[in-house]
Amino acid sequence: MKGRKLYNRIAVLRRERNLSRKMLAEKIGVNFQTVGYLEREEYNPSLDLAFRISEYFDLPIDMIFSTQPMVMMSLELLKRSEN
Amino acid sequence: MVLELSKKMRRLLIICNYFSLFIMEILFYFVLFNDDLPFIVDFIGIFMLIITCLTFIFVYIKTGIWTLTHSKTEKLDERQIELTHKALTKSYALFAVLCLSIMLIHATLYRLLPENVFIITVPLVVGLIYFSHILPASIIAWGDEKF
Repeated sequence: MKGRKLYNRIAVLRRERNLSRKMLAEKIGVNFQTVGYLEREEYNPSLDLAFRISEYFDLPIDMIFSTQPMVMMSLELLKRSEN
Repeated sequence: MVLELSKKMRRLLIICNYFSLFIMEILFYFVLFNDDLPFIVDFIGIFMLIITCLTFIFVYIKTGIWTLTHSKTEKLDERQIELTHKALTKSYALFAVLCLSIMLIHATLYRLLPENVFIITVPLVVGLIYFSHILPASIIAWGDEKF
C-alpha cells in the first residue's frame, strides 16, 4: 500500500538555523541525502525519525509535518494564538 | 569522496558494464569450441575485461552504491534500508529467473542435441556470481536520482 504524501517544513527550519544538510543529517542520525529526500517531500519519514526531527528543532511534530500543503509559519502561529 | 554521476551517465556505464561482461562470456564459449583463433579474440577479451573493471569502479565503487548494497543494516538509515530492500527483492526475482532459464536451456539442449553445445562453464558461473552482486546496485543506480 502506498502511503499518503507528507508535507514538511524541514528545509525552512534548517535554513533558519543556518545548518547544512550534512550537519542536520548528523544531528538526526541519517545520511545527508535522506535530508534532501525529506526536504523535497519525496520520502515519508518513520514515526521515530519524525520525532527525532521534532525533538531536534524543539517544535511540536504537527508544526513540522502535515498531510496538507504547508502554510506560512506566521499564519499557522496566528491561527493557533486565535484558538 | 563520493563521485556524483548523472542518471544518464550511470545508465550508460551500467550498459557498458553488462555489455562487456556479455561479450566476455560469448568469447569464452567461442574459444571453447574453436581451437585456432586469431590474436584479436584475446585482445578483445582483455579489452572487455578492462571495460568491465573500469565501469564497475566508476558506477558502483566511486558512487558509493556498492557500500549501500553490501553494508550491514545497522550502518544504513531507514530510507537506505527501504531502497536496498526494494532493489534486493527485484534482483532476487530477476536472478532466480535468469539462473533457472540457463538451467532449463542447458537441460533442454542436453536432451535434444547429440553434441553437447551448451555446457555450464566456470566463466559462466563466475559471471553469474559477479552479476548477482552487481544487480541490486545497478537497480538502484538505474532508477534513483540520488541514493
